Order: sequence, then structure tokens, then C-alpha cells
Amino acid sequence: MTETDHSRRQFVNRLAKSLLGLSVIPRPAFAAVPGAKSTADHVIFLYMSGGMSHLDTFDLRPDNKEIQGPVTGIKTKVPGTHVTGHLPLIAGQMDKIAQIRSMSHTQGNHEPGSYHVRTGYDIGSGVIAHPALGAWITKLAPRLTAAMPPYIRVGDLGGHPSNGFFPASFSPLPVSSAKAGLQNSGLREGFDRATFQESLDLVSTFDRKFRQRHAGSAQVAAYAELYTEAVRLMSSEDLDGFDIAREPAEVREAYGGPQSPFGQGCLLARRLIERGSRFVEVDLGGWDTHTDNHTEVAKQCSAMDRPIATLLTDLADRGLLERTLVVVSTEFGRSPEIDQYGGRNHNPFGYTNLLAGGGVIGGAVYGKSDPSGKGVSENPVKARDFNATIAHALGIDYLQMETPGSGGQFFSIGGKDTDPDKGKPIAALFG
Amino acid sequence: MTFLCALISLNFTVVGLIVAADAVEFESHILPILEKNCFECHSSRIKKPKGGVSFDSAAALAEVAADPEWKAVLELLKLPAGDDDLMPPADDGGPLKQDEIALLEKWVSEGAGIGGFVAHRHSDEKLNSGLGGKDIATDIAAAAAEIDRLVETGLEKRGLKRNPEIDEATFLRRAYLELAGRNPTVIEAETFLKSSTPGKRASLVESLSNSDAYVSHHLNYWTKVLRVQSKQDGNEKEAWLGYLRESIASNKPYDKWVREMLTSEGRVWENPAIGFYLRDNKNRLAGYEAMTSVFLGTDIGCAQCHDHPSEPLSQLDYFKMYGFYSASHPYNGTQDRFLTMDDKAFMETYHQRQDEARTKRLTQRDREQQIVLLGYLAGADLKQKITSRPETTGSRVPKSYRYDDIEHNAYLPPEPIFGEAPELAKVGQKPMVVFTEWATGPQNLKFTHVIANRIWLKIMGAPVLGPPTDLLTLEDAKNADLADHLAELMLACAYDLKRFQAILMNTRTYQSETIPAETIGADFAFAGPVLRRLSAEQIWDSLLTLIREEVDPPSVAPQPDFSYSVALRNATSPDEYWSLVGRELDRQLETHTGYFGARGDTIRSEVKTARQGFDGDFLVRASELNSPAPDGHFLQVFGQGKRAVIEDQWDAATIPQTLMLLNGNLHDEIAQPGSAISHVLGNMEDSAATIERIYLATLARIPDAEELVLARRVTADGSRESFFRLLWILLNTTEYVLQP
Repeated sequence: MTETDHSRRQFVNRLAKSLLGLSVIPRPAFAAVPGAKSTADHVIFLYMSGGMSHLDTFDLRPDNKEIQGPVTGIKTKVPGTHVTGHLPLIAGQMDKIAQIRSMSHTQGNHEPGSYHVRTGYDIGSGVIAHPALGAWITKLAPRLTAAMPPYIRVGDLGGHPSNGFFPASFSPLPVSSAKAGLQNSGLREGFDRATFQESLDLVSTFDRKFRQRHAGSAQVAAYAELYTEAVRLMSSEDLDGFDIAREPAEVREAYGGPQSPFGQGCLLARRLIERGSRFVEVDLGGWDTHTDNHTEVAKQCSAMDRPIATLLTDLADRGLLERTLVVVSTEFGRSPEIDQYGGRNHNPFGYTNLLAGGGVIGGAVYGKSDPSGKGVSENPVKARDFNATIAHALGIDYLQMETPGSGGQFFSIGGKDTDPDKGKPIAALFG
Repeated sequence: MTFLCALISLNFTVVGLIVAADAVEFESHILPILEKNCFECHSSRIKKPKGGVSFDSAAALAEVAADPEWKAVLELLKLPAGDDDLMPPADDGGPLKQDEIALLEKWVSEGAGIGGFVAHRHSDEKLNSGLGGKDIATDIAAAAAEIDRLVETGLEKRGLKRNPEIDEATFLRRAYLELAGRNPTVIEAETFLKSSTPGKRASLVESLSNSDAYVSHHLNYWTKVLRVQSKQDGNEKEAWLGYLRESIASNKPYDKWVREMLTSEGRVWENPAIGFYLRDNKNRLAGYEAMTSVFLGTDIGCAQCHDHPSEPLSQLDYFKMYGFYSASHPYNGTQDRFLTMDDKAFMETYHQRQDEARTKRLTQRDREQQIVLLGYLAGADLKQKITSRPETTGSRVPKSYRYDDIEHNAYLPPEPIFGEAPELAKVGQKPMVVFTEWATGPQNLKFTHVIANRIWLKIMGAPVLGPPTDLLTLEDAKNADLADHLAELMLACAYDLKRFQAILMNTRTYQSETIPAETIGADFAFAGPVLRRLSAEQIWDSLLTLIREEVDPPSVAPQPDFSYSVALRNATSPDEYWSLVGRELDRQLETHTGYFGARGDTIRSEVKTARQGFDGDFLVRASELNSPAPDGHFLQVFGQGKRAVIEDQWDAATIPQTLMLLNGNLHDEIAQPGSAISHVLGNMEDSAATIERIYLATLARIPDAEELVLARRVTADGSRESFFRLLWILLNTTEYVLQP
């Protein structure tokens, strides 16, 4: 086969895909690393949007008052590990959490930074859009259940890389708020279950001729099938997964109650992975502490403390933590200097991410930021390394190359396998 | 250079040769042999031809004659089949046939003359010269028939037959979706179906091409191709959208508006076409790559970081061409932001105000902070200016260059990625004009192939020449004659896209029943157009016809008012500047427009639209909404895309779409007593007539006998609810979301 043939064939495949829609493309075989054992089935991806200050949360500077400011550390369940006093509940769960204190990249603005950590690539081209990690995982790992959508995001898709160059079926199903649940999944006023079902049957009856006439079209079949799937979801117990009101009041309270949208999101995430979703994302915004950093970070800590601590205990109590990787990520950390407005500015050169459950050694601390708190002095970890680590836990080949089908470009979670700079999982975090 | 190896593997079929008794003629006898057997590796199109030898221009041939000399070349041709030095190599079809070698020997012995030969035009660079010059676009019916003939030839070659012709109703809905971007209304449908005028299909195409709806729909189309985001900071996008709208409405020839954008200079109120350059102001390489994809049909993205793995395009080519293209630059300095005021003095007052606001911990609810922000935004807008460089400067080898054949930061002369380099230093001509002439001029056939292929894809659902952003060569086209003819036709139409579309829609090929998407990939033979899902905008705009009486916006939008920007530019002191900003804030708050005035409304509307998009004030055609629509909006759920990447819309079936059509509140709007469909259905006393209208309103056709029986059963009690239930059922059929 010549290269010209090859690119033409690629084009044809791509065209067929774009015309067909997703649900009809056969799912690829599980792109597992031969012989590798997965340590997790699910990911709960908690994103601290705006840039979480590593210096005021997990990577403290008790010996440097100038950097540290008024923050004081407290002991945690792990001897010798301290976190800010504003995270007392998480302190009690540190034995489940591994810290990566040497995250590093060079994208210092929110949009490019967030794109970089979510995709492993730099934002840029008007021609290629890279898929977010969740889309990669949805693409490369098999679905766990037929009814449950594999990739769900609590929140909107604005500014999110989403499915990138993958077909739209690999984009997250957005649930705009945990409280509202899945959009349009309830019956319209005037419809009871029986009338609805009857009307649906009529849709098939009225549509029968059209479907028959286009029996050769996978697209038509996909639409028909999708109705079945949507209705299955509407009437299945899985739909209850989207409804946090079904949780006992004390559980909802433990996650922070109605005044904590982030906590509600974490609770929803637990319900969703419990029913077979692979990858659920929840954001906590407000970390862009340019003004009065210490007051603001204290507020942010109180917003994250209870939900995350409860999520970890809840998952552990239900026996889910073992196979669920909880990720805490952010676009960058914050600068050691406090400016004249009491703020810390963006610092992508060194910051902290967390991993818990899913086979990760709890209590571990990997990498080291430098004494100034700005850079990294030991074991730097790139976004691609971090994403490869998550893929590795799921047993996914993080170097499995995928192409948008144009210009001969290939991408993977870890980058190009021939690239000396390709991502590598942090093996030290796994037992 | 790895890409060269990739090129040496085509299969060659040697054509029969005329053995010349008379003198051998270069162009008729020798050139064909060279083209078939040698140009893959030895052509001046390849940046580094094998052995530094090429055979496709007079200059190159003269070099060969001098060194290594033709006799040496002949020796290589005559080596035994197993020899490593044999030319062409054994795995590339070597050795040549005996009669070919004999012909070459005769030619060399006669002095290897090349007559008047200058340079070879490679087959993807030339159009079918047989048609050139004739006006093949004047008679639409004849032009359509010629296309049908070429399609039919392609079908016959593959043993396929054209699909049956579609009926009037199918044509009606198809034509409305294609040209007006929406379903016909009940009245529009009745008018067409009842008409017995001969040639009514052609008339419909013509009248729809001249409608307001045409402008709305095609604005959506080009917004996707050009990635226009109306919500980007600054007001230049609004101006650019206005420019595109006007260009579509006046049916400005495609090559003309592309040239206008590529040569645009000035400030946005002087020339709104600069929106094209400002789109990628912050990432000029992205703009360069998108331009090359959209207008030149060449995806060069990968060559930013490495040589193209399969095409003759190196990383250096990428940057040489960039040096050629980047003849314009956004003006990012502040020196001439104000006509008279000193910029530094202004910036001091800005920093003072900003510092004060931050020290006082003011928020965006505080007037002082609002003024600082508005003043900042307006100041940034004033920097938006495009100027042509005085001369083409070329570019430098970037730090990221990954090969060691040239030093970092070495000078790279400006060079096009294909075709002939124009004279760069034409006296009195701006570099951006030189570039534009090269890119859009008649000698660049790709420019024409791109747009012909793009419009064919738009109408037929699949291309004839590969993806419009990364064209195939004619050799690789499944129906090269058709592809070639379409480019010829585009030239004959003088890039009049309305006319070109009308010709395609008048073909029998277009007016045939569809083929499923998955079959087209095998042969690209068009037994009919490809079955496609409606775009997000087509579905939204079609649903609107059920709710609103008049849905099509006027094709001429009011020009954005830049008097505020002009006044700021003319400000003579910072005090005057800030007082103008204060007045602007008052105006925004009073009129509920602009950044702060509209903000409350925008936020409110986004909360609502984030749910559905079906909300009284925002029930306007997609072209009149922000581009892209907010998350969770109907348009986003159905795949409008983000306008971040060229044509990033999608048409996959997803669960949220289904849930929205089943349970969404669009049905509330449709069922309201004041909705357009309620009005059309009237008192619903005549059951058969009501059912017919519901069919026309949704599927643009009349129910057949069997469907009528079914529909009568659903509406047996004759209640309003039952008729709306029928409507709900039809809106949820696959037929509704697919182009018939």
C-alpha cells in the first residue's frame, strides 16, 4: 500500500465516521498494555479551577514565614505529613492520599493551562482539537455497563476540551448541576408512563417506512437505537443514579448539604461510578486568589474539605475506593510572593496534585518543590506523566496512538512514543 | 528525509508508445516517459529531489545535461534488473521497457533538445484544457446535464446505477434545507406542491437563492468554516460577521471576498474584513494553518513540529511559507492607539485607577471598577489594527526545529509550499498583495479546486476530491474527470457560488434518492446525494417555523456603531477618555446593552438557555444568536460546535438530543395558542386537513393512505391535545432529523 493510498483510506474512514455518527462505530478492543494489571476501574476527577495554591494547602513552608504568611499546618493521619489547618477533615484522610508535589509545566494562563493539564497538549491550532483525558479513557477502555453513560461531567462544557478530535460520543455527558440531575430525563407534564410508552411506540410505527427505506443506513439505525437507549435510561434504575435526592439526608449532609454544590457533585459522582460510569468530573471553582489570597484560600479549603474527606470515607466504606481512583488536579499552583493586594499570582512551574484509591499508595509523597516554592527540585512530573499515571492505573496503554485523520498526525495520552519527552506513569505510587 | 522514501512506491502502467521514425520530440515523446517513471523522486516540486536531480523544468534538464550528463543517465537505465543502481529502482517499476530506452537513446543521440519546453505542469496543477475558454455556465440546464454525464460515467465504471428520481415533496424539503437552512412553512409547502408550473424546481432554487433565509443559512455555513466566534472580546467579530453577511447577501464572488480579507488593512471601523486576521491575533501560526487549510486545501499543521511523514512538506517548508504569508501583522503596540494623547500618560491614569480599585477591594458591582474595566477593554480594542509589512521579510528557523541540517535562527527565504514563487520585490506592491495574488490567482488551481469541491460536498454530502481542507490530487480522485470539470465550472461561474450551487441542485444526480453515508466511502460514485442528519442550526431553525410566524432575519444587518471607539481614539487627554468611558457605562446601563448593560440579561438568558434555548426573547434563527451558543443550549446539544476548529460541528446521535426532543420544553412553545403552528391549524375541525398540515409542518409532505389511517387513530377524539400529540410523534421520528 502506498502512502497516498494510506492517507486516502484514512480520509475515507474519517469521512465515514463523520457521516455515521458515533454509536455505530465498533468500539475498539480494550487498548490494554499486554500483561499489565489494572488497579482501578473508575476515575473521579476533581478539578480545582483557577489554580489551587499548593503553598497554602498541601506543600507548606513552615520554616519560611515570608512565603507562608499566616497559614499554620496541622498533623495528619500520616506521621510527618502536615496540611493547612483549614483542611482538618482531609488531614484525617491523608493515609488514603498520595501527593505529587512536583507537578510542572509552562502554561501560565488559565485557558492554556487548563487545556494543557486536561489534554497533555498545548492549545493552539485552529485545525486540531485534542481530547480531554476522560475522552481518551472512554475511547480506550470498554464500557462497564450498557445503560450507564461512561463519561459524565458535573458542570458545563464551556472551555473544556471535551472529545477533541474524537467523535462526539466520547464527549462527557454534561449534568449542569448535581441538584438538577440529568436534563430532560423526566416526563413532560401531561404524560404519564403509560401514555409516554404508547406515544413512543407510535413514533416507531410512524417512522417504520422511513427506517425500512433506509435500512442500509447505519445512521438511521443509530437514531432508532438511541431512542431505545434513551428510554432505557429514562426508565432504568440507573437514572436514579443521577438523583442525589434519593440519598438519605444524613449522607447528603455529610457531603456538605445543599449549600455545597461541590459536595453534591462529589456525592453524585459516587452514585454514578457505583452504577458503572468510568470517568466522572466535578469542578470546584474560585481558586484564582489574586486578591487576599489567605482569606480566599481559607474559604476554598472549607469548600473542599468536607466533600473530599466524606467522598474518601464513603468510597472506602462501600468497598469502592480500592477500584476507584480519586484525582485532585488544577491548572497550576500559585507564586510564593504575596503582592500588594495580598494575592498570589499564577505559578505553573511547580505545584501539587493528589491521587487517592485505585491502587495508589496512600500517604505517599512523590517529588519535591524547590525551597522557593516556585519550581521543582526532585522528580518533576509533567501533565502527560500525570495523565499516563491515571491511564496506567486503569490498565490502559497510554501510548496507544490515535489520529484525527489529517496531515498524518498521531497523538496519545503520553505523547509520541518515539519522543524522548513522552509521558511515563509514576510507578513509585503503586504497590 | 523520510518523506522521499514514501513517494517511491506507485505502480506504473506504461502507456503504448509511438515509435518515432522522425526526430524525437521532447514534449510528446520523452516527457511522458519521465512523468510516468521519474517525477515521483526527481521533480522540482520535491524540496530535495533524489540525488539532487530533477527532470521537470528546462533549468533542471540543463543541469542534468551538464552533470551527470545524459549518457550517464542512460547507463543507469540499462543496468541489469538486479543491480542496486538501476533506475527506476526495481521496486518502483524499473527497468524501463526496451522501446522506452530506445526512444531515450535516440533523443540523446539527436542532441537531447527540449524545444520550447519551460516547465512541466503536474497533473494536479492543470485543469482540463478542453473546456477552458468556453462558457459552460451560462445555460444552467446544460451545465447540470454535463455533470450528470460525468457522474454517470463514474457510476458505469463501477457497475452502479443512478438512484430513482425524488418526488416533488422530497425536493421541496431538500431545497429548503439546503438553501434556506430550514423546513418550509405549511404555506410555503402548499404553494410549491400545488403549483403546476413547468420547471418549478428550478424556479424554487432560484427564488430561495435570493431569499433572506439564504443569507441566514449561509452565514452559519461560513461562520463554521472561518471559526467566527461572536463572543470573543472586542467588537470586531460583530463587524466581521456584518461583512460576511453583506458579502453573502450581495453574492460577492468568492475569490473577491477572500482577496478582500487577505489584503485587509486598517482598523475595524475602516475595514471590517480585518476580522479575518484578528481572529487569530493571539496565535498567528493557528491563523496561518487555518488559512492554508481553508483556502489552499493543504493541511500543514504537522509540519510545524516535524517533516510531513507522507507528503513532500518539510518543517522548513512550513516556516518558509509562513514567511511568505505573514505579510500582515496585527498592530499590538500602543504607539498609535490615540491620535494626539500620550499613551504613557493615559496608561498611568489606568494603573492608578486600577490600583485604587484593587486596594479598595472593589468588585464588578462597583461603578469605579466597572469604569476601569470598560476603559481597559476599549483601550485594548483601539490597538486592533492590521498593516501590511513594507516588505516580505521571510522567517527564521525556530528553536523547535528538530533536524540538524540548518542552524537555529538561520534566515529562511519566503517561499510558497507549492506552485511557482512569485516575484517578491515587485516595486510598489505590498507583500500581502503579492501573497494574495499567488494564493487566489488563476495559476493556483488548488484555490479553485478547493471551493468547487467544498460546494460539491455541501450539496451532495461527500466530496469528489477529498476533504476540502486537505485535498487529494487529481490522480487520487475516484472521478478525476468530474473533479476537474467542477473546477472548470467554478471558473466559468467566476466564483459565483449561488450560480454554482444552483447548477448542482439542478442535476439529476442531486434530485435522486439518497445513498447511505457508509457506501460513499467505498467508491465516491454519486448514485444520489448522501443521506445526512440536519445540522444543529437546520433543526433549530426548522422548529422555529412552528413557533414564530416570521423567522428569517433581514439579510442586511445594521452596521455596528463605532462612534465610541472613534471618540476615544480622538481623546486629547486621559480625563476626556475616562469621562467618555463613564458616559458609555451610563449608556450601557440605560439601554441594557454592552458589557455591563447586557450583562444582567445575558447572565439571565444564559441560565435559561443553558437549560434549553427555548425562551421567548431568544427564539430567533441561529445566525442571530451568539456564535457559538452557550453550553446546554439546544444548538450545542445538537452539535453546533465551538467554532474553535474549522467546521467543528458534529452530527452524531446522542442521548441528550433524544431526551430534549422527547421531554424538552420546546414542546411547550410549540403548543402555545400563539404559536405559528397553532395559528395554521386553526380550529382543527377538519381532521384530515389538520393532519395534512401537521405533516407539511414537520416532514414537508402529505401523509400516504396508511399514515392517514394511523394519524386518524391517534387523533380520533379530535381534541387539540391529540393533534399536538401527533406533532410530537412526528418531531421524534428519524425522518424529521434527517435530510430526505
